[in-house]
Amino acid sequence: MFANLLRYRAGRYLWWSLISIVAGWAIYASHTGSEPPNGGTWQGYVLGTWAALLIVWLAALGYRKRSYRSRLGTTQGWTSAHVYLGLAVWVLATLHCAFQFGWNIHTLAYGLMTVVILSGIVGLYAYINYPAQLAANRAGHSRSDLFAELHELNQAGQSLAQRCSADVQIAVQTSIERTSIGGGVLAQLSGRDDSRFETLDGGGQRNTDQAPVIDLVASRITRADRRTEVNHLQALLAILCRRQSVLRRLRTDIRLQGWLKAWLYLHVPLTLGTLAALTAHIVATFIYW
Amino acid sequence: MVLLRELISGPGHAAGAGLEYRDREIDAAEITLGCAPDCTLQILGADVQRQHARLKTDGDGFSLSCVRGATVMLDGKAVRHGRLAPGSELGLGGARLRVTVAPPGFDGALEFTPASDVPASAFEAAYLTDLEQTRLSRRRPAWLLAIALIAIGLIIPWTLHRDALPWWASDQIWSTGPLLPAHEVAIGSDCSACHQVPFQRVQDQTCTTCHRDMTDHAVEPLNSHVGLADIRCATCHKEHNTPVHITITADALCTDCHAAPDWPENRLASAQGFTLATHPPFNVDLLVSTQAPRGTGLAYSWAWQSSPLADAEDRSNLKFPHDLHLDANKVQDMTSGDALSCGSCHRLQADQEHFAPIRMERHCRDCHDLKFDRNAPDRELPHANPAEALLTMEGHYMRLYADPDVGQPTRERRRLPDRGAAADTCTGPAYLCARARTAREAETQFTVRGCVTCHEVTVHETTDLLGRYQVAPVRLTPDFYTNARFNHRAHLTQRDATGDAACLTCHAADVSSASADVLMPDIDHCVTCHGDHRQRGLIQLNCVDCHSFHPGVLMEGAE
Repeated sequence: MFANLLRYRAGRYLWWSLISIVAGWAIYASHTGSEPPNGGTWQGYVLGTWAALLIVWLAALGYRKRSYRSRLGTTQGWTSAHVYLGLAVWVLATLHCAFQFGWNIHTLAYGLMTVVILSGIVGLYAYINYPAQLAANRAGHSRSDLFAELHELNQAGQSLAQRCSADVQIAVQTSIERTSIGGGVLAQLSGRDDSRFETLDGGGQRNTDQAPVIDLVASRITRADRRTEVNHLQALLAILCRRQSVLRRLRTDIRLQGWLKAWLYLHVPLTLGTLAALTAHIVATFIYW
Repeated sequence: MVLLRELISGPGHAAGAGLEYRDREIDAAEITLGCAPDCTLQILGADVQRQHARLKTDGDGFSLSCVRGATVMLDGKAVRHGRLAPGSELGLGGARLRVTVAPPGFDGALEFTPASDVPASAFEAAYLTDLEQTRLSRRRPAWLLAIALIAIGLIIPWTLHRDALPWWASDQIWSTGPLLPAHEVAIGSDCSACHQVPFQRVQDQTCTTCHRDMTDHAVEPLNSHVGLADIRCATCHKEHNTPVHITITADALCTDCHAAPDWPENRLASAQGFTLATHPPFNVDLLVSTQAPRGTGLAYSWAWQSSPLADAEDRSNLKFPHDLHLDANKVQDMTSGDALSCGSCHRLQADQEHFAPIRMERHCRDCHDLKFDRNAPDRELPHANPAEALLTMEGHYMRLYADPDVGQPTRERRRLPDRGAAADTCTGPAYLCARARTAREAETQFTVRGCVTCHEVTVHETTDLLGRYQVAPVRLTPDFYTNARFNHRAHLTQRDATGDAACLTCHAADVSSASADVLMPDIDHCVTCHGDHRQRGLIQLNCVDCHSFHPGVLMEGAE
């Protein structure tokens, strides 16, 4: 679906976009010397109007994609057009302003629009690349499946830990309790692991990727006196390693899902900001005509 | 300090053998309950919120407060707030928390029994795994940003017109670019100096408030006839450009009309650019003298006349061969002995276009003195006043013949071979001798050498000496192309030519033997280096580089 975004109907909207850009340049080039390129020439008005209408239409995608009953084209088609025409609008707006920038509301509108487009490009990159990585990471399971599996492993691990020596018991028990998954914005997007566990003497330490606690349990196997204890420890070790694997998948899943959405937290607010600045730009231009 | 006893294995757990507790001392003012991992007591369950409730020690018990919309079961009743005394039991998400009597040294004691079975979905809900669950929001910043931008970008500049405001909170943020520095100095940041009525284009009177002397391109009614009267100043003079420029310089400004002039009584040829094919040949403007009989002599009048360069004849009434004066073998500078250069006489003025007027006293007199009596080398005739010159001669000779002290040494001076002594010997009355001598000398000066060397002299047949010779007045044309601008300084260095050579590339003075020659270059000379915007490899000239749209503004003082 995501690759199809760009190839929707053989790239129909790519052609629309290219035609817009070429037409925009042609209009821009028609500036004669008697009217140097400027937003206020008839060419500037044409380019500006076309770009402004495109911006409003592009912003309308936010409403269209939630109107599931709409028969006005498919969401996929809208999104394909959104991507291609969104890139074209950047060229058209640049031609409209005739490469003139300054510290004013007009360039602010342009700057906001540019950030919106750049964040859109990040989103496009995510939409093209991450779904496949997500699917490969989950290996056919849902995130709930992974959590259910982790939950089972946690319970099994806690039960097993109680049959082990006190130091193993407290380390495993606290490592399960203090396993960090997701969290704040940065933790989700970076996949950072803030997991910790406690030792018998009350000290806490980092448990990044569960490796320290696995090392601890593994080291106890060689020191174990009784055969039953070795068996418990080996079973516990197997569970901890499975936990480690599930946790890795979960963190990767959260990180990729996060990036699939993160750009929207810039794209959506700045889109509304762009619309507001665009309104101010247009009204201000004609107040001081 | 709170003692927390936590049941970690027991009947609820899968493989429990008897009850086992773990005691914790909690050194915190309050105990948090919720599904978030960072709560003091993590309680997983379907209806448990992240920070569900807080317990604060309160004497021998605890005070309870839940977050908005959340409740806990306190002794079998759902409450949001309450007080827990020893023996109270709090239920949340299947877990139980019982208040016990605090041992000595503790502010409170709690006994926690986890839920026997936590569903996997509740377990998943305990973690923040989606950005939607974080502080990030799309809707709120979107609206805040939109409202802020409308306020800063529109409402504040629209309602507050105070100079004290910083630029970013005033209507200056509406400025699309910098002003011309002169305008910036004149009006500062007062947008309303030009933008007087909202939603109305800038009107001409805002310009003419300062630019009072500006002239229209054409005179009325032609100006209106060709539609120029309706064009606003700002049509051509647009402010707020980056980089700063205010005057449109493109040829279309002119060629829109001048490519095909179709107004009444047009005398202008079509001009579409600056090539031999698109620009008419140059016409030179000449100050031309005309003469007409008046009384016993001639009356001279002067008028500007425009004529094609090929036919032009400079009738300044001055005789001046440029070639002779530039010939190093014939004319040298009096003091240095070097050949004359163009700059010996022609001094560029500050406007870089025009030259200081030629003056006989300053430029000619070093060589062309006005001595008339070889025996009196210190006597010279006054210039530019023939009558005064005649009277000077007469006075001189009168004294020569009448005053014995003056006359005597004169006769004894060595004489040139071609001059007989008879010329000076006059036996009549001194007055008559002087007059005769003056008449002879005047004839020489006005017809042989002297005045006539440079001037046109008309001899009238009359016995009155003062009326006999009339010198035609001289007026040199100060500007041959009055409708054009030209920067001489910019052309003083050319490819392979500097100094006089640079002058001579355009003005062929070294081969001009007559002052009637108009030594001005025609367009064919200009187009060897210049072309319009369509020409490649040439220096581009726009119409307004040479011609002024608003006539009369720049040409004042050219006289």
